[in-house]
Amino acid sequence: MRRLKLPLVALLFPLALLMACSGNRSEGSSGQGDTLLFRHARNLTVVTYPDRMEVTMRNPWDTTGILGSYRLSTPIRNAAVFGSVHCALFHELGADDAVGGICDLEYINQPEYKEGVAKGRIANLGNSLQPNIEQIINLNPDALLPSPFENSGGLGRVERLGIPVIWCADYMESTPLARAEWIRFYGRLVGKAERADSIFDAVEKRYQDLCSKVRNTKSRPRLLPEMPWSGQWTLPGSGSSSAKLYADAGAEYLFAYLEGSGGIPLSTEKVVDKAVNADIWLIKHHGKLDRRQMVADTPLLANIKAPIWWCDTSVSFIYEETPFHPERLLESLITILHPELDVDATYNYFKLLTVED
Amino acid sequence: MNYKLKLLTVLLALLAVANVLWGSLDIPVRDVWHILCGGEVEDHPAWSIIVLQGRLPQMLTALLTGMALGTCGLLLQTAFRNPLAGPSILGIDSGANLGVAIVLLLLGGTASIGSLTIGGHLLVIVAAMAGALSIMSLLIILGRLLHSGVMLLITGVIISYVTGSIIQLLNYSATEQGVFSFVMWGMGNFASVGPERLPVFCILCVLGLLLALLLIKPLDALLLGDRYAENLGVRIGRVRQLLLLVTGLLTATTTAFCGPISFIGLAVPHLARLTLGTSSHRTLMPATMLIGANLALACNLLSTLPRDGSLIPISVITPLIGAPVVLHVMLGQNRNTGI
Amino acid sequence: MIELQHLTIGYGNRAVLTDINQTIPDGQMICLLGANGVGKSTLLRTLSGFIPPLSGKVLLQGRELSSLSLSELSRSVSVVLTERVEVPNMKVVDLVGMGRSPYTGFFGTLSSEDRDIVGKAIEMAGIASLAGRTTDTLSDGERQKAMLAKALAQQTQVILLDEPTAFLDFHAKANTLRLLSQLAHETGKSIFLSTHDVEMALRLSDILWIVLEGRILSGTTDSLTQDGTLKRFLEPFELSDLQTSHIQGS
Repeated sequence: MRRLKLPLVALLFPLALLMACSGNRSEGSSGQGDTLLFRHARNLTVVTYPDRMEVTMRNPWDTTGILGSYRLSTPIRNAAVFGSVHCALFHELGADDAVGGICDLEYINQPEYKEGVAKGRIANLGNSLQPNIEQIINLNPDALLPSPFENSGGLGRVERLGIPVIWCADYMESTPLARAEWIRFYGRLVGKAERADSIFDAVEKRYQDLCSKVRNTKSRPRLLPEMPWSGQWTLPGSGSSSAKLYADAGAEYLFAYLEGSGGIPLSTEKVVDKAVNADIWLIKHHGKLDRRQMVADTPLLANIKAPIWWCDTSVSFIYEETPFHPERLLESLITILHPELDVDATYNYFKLLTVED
Repeated sequence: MNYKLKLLTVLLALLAVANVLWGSLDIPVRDVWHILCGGEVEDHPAWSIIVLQGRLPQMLTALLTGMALGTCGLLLQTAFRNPLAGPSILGIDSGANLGVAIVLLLLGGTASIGSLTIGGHLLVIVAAMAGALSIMSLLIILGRLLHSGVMLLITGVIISYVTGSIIQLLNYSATEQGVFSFVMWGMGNFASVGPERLPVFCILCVLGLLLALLLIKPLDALLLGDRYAENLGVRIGRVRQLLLLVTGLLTATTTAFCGPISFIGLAVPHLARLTLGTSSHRTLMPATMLIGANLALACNLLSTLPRDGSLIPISVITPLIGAPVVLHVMLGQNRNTGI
Repeated sequence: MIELQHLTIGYGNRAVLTDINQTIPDGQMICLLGANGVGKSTLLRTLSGFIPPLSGKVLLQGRELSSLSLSELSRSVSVVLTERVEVPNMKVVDLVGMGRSPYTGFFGTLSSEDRDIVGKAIEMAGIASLAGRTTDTLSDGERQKAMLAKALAQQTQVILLDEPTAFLDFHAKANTLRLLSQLAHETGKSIFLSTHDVEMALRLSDILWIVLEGRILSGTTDSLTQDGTLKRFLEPFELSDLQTSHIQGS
């Protein structure tokens, strides 16, 4: 045995390195995997095996292309999570232990994570756009979970570290439920498949219940979203998740004719021309909103008479709570658009802007 | 010579009218005219606000900004004998940038002094003015101490670098929202002066332009050189201070209200020289003002070119015109010096 | 007439020439001669008011130079310097017109009277044929003449020239000095210039000022020859015998 030990170690060492670097098991695919059936999500293909999964992500900007293809051993135990949204998600899944490092600490609202960083249990990886490479290497994570954006050119040096990069492209799905369904993928990453599935089932049911309630109503209030910045007003295109949400909430989205799945910039003139007909004006704003100031800055806005329902994103958890729970946002919108419906709402992200605010 | 100035004035009138008649929203010319005569258009109540409170102030803003920046460029190019001088050469607009950066990136858009809270665009304007005028005051004081044009230019360059790096630092630690607002502000925008703020803007610009006219005679003398100018009775020190005051005021005002607008200050004096074929400021200054206004109005019109309702930012259009002019000047220099 | 009374000139606390007592009379051309660095430019700068004297007085027609306002000074003393004036697109007539600045109004527009004066100045300087040309098309000598015309248009009693013959060829040097001499005699102005062209100055100048051993010694060519000043001045160049004999012979 002793005589074999040295060559054995010599053989296993590079193999171990390979495994550590690529996270693969070098055995060939054995056994049948479970292909996850997605009911809404379209950009994801997931095949699970007992100890690993194979994931293919479609490129949301060029649907003929692939954003990434992975073979990962699961569950991951030590993830570098770049977005606060996904931190909130892992917390809900009960997978706090799987999070080894986080970025953009100032945007994280969960006290558990703040404490974790303070106590040194979770690594602070800095700014999500320029993460701290040394800390990442030190963390030696199983996977990186960043958000992709078009032409971001990848993560640069970080990608060359050989750590699996799982692009969190959930937000590029074109319907709210499709985005939320990614929870089933993330759940399987951290070994909480059942929990994830049951959460999503509840989300889906509630969402669809709400939709059918709305379908029975007659009125369709005309909705105007967002506000202009420096002469430009960016509005969600018809193919975007937001547009679908407005439709599901029983609104007539005044700019549903805009093609595209992202934000479309228009001149203030063009928007105001239609916006005079709005019944509801929906704004998400960082900090206090002052209607008089808005009009002082952009006089054309004086022409819009619709009441403003707004969300103060500097204090609200809307960005953490709603991506994987679109039903919360939906019920919030329905209470504004169709107050006559009783939807038993517990989430109210928007409130009416009054003069005293 | 006079006929050229007359032509430029006619062109100005045409462009001014065009900027009101056409915009990113298609309003029939007849209806625009109707609104200008005091009427309203049925079914489109928004149109009269768009024309009277949107396009009209925007046209005046572009006109005055073009005049102001072109004049600044002319004053600086003559005073420093540098054909590549522009309003940004002394770092006054960097001061404005820094003021706005502090407000948008650090303070998050609102500031309170005692019980007075200001926010929104008004705060941006105040901060930009404060920043620009501080730098201007600094330069005036240094101008008294240094007695050298070159040293003043170097100071301007240093100021630009220092403010630039402070802004980078603020950018790094700012929120996404803050960075976005700051970037959008940096694109330049003639629509940001509404009818309420227009009077203040007009007064400041006109004041600066009138003061600039006072400098016509000393500037002509300065063309010969400091020594000759002094011998002809020009108080070099006082002229330099007035020059700093005027460029400071005009740069501060335009940057504060419209954001940074590049290239107009640099290119317009050269266009004026090319058109007029003279170096005499008696005709060059009015020509610069007219061409500056025309150029700004043309850029404003071009920004509404896309028919789908979006806008091309001003900061994209001005370099497209400015760069060829600068290139032409540089090639002209090469020919003269044989480099 | 300019009187220099106990004039000490220099920069800061460094005096270049001390206790000068001289007079520049009207209607004469005076040439200032001296080796490089001896203070010629400093004297010219002091007389034109660009730098203040360290001590002593300069009296212009009886009035102290330092008491004159900048505007009065611009009507009393005009200068022609060695600086090369490069202004694109400026016609000669406009350049000469700049000389009327001290007299014109707000924007510097020339009245018809001003234009007459400019025309006369151009004629006096002998560049009437160049009036419509732009300054960047002129030769060095022609440009020099244009600057002189400008100084003439400025209608000052005194014209100061800093090495006006420096970059000219032999003929041009002679022409310039002859022209200046003629102007001084015809207009009654005091024309004061520094030069290195010793031989021509000796021939053509009414009065010479020679900077020698820290002092200024003035006189005509003859008087300076007789009292041996010229000899002492030219000795280091070993030209003394040649020069003085040549002049005595003519």
